[in-house]
Amino acid sequence: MTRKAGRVSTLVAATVALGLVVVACSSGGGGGKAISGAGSTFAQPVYTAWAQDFVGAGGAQVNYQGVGSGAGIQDFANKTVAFGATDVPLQSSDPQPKSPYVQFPTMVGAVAILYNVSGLPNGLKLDGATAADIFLGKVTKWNDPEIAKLNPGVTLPSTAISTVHRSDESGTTAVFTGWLADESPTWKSQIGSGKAVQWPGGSGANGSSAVAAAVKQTNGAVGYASQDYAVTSGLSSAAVEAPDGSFVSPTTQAMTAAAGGLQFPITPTTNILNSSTPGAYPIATTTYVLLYTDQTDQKEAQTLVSFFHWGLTQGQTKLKSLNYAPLPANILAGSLLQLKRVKANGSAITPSP
Amino acid sequence: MAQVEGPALSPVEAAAPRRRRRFGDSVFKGGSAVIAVGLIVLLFAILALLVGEGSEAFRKFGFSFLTGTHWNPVAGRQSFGALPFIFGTFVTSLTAIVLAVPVSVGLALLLSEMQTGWLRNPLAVLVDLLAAIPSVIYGLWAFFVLVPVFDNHVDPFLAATLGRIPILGALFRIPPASQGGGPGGNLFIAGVVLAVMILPIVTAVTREVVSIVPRELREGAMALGATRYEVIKMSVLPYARSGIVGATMLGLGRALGETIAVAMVVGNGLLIGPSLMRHGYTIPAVIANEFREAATGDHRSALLALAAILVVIALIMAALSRLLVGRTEQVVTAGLAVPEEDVLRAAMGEEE
Repeated sequence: MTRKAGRVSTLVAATVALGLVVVACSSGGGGGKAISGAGSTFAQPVYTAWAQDFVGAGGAQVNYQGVGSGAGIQDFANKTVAFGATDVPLQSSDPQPKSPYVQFPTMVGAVAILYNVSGLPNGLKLDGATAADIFLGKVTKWNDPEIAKLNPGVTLPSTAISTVHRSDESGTTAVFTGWLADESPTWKSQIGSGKAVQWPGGSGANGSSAVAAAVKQTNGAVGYASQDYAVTSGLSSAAVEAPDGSFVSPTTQAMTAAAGGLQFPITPTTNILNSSTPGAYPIATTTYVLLYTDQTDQKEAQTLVSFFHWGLTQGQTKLKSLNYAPLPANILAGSLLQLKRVKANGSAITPSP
Repeated sequence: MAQVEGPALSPVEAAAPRRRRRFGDSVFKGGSAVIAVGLIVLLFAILALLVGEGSEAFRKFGFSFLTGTHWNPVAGRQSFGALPFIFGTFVTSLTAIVLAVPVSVGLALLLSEMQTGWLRNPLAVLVDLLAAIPSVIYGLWAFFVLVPVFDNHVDPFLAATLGRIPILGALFRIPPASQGGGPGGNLFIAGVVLAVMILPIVTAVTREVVSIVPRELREGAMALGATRYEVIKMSVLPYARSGIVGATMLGLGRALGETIAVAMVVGNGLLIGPSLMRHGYTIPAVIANEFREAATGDHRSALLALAAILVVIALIMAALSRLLVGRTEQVVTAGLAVPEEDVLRAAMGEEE
């Protein structure tokens, strides 16, 4: 009997010690408490990179789960995460948060039209109507007159076009179909726009990386994915026609320029598609975060505000290497102003680091 | 002192002290009853949740939900129909069965009947290893290896050869892109992946069933001058038929529910037609792809209704398999002095 009691007490002591270690680890450094956020997979590479650098700079642990914009909004509304991340601003059809919140953009991204056609150079010129016709299945070969008209002097192969779309719901699809609906009345009436639509043909892949992989292994394939996947997969991206008639490729400057016209406060229809700024990439998007303004936990609020302050200041310099783009200065100021509205128990929070 | 009721006790049980015997027995009886009832309650709870939530979709879209061919989650033009998914689920599973069962039965016979010598053990181990590979690994392998090979070589070859056969060839002709043809995965590739995944199960169960065929039957056939092939055809296969049916149903059950591997290679298209070479969709694949972000009530109800349909299909298949196993083994064992339980147990008991 005594041997058993001895073993049990050792086990209890070990468990308590382990628990203390876990609790100690989770508080992290800096006097803040670990927080978690969830949402957009589009922005996931950036938030995880920022979280790593934030800890390195002395901040607390920030855990981010890329579960998708819709699930992120749901988690935020249920208060199971400290912040939600979404590519499309909060809509009236989404679960609504019950406490006051702020919504502001953190970075600029772009949806690139990726293609893998042997014989075609990078930067093929496409406009909205042609892209819509390709994804509608009306344009079936790469040497179609519609494409040839936009690309004089380029020899187009007669390869068949096969389109790849997202089979899961995604903000990337929402942005891309939103742009197609703006550009093509046929697309708008037949398909519409949304996080998931009924695609008229083509194959589906689950996630941007799967879309890039699918395009990469099929000659003649065309798909859409966020710009960072275009770069990391080594696929060509199209130069898209802007409202002023020029053809713009998704470079960092083009993406930053596109966000210049963003208006605060963010409404359900806010978008930066087809920005009129010269040199702006037409299919750009800002990605937003949602934060509650009336925080009750001082330590959590400290981490939350410090993290996003850090992201909106130091974090912006890291964006180019991750193939996203920093916000232009006027929009950054607007975001920082929104961040200041987040208070803990009524008092303002000084971000640190 | 009250007498102990119940069945007659063995000498060992009778020798145990009375109080401990009654307590231990009742604890065991109570515990197993709770577990058994709990399992039934769990099954009904799952069904109730699915039917309850899914019935919203049926209420909104009516019976046409089962026959509808659209799947449009865009706000303002929502319309959901289950037919493409039911069709895809059946087609991929049937393709898997048609491809896997003959190979499995042949493999099982090879492993148990033939003089393979040194080959037998390594081969048996390799087949069992196939069962150990996780489904998602199969999906990755199929996506990166099978899909390009099939899109570029196998599908055109089949379309050019088998596609020429008058009626059956319609299965293999590649439709134009506007009707779901083209690279990116199709129902046929999904069927092939499923066939590879159910092969180990069907082989293992068939091996068990074939091994319990009584020696007397085989020896009798050999004594009559039958060749090896005739021995198998005359005495082994008819006897093992019910077990093979059971094994097939097990494989079918797995094929119906396989999610990730299929979602990666089935092409995710909604059109229905006679060809296998088109982008298709199955119920588990669409649930896996869309459930996470299905926030609006109708979309969510539609997905849950699909899940309910899948559970109903699986239950029907399970009932059908019990029926078929019972029927075939009645035909075979009539007149043979062999316990029926052996056949049934080998076919269903071990694996379940």
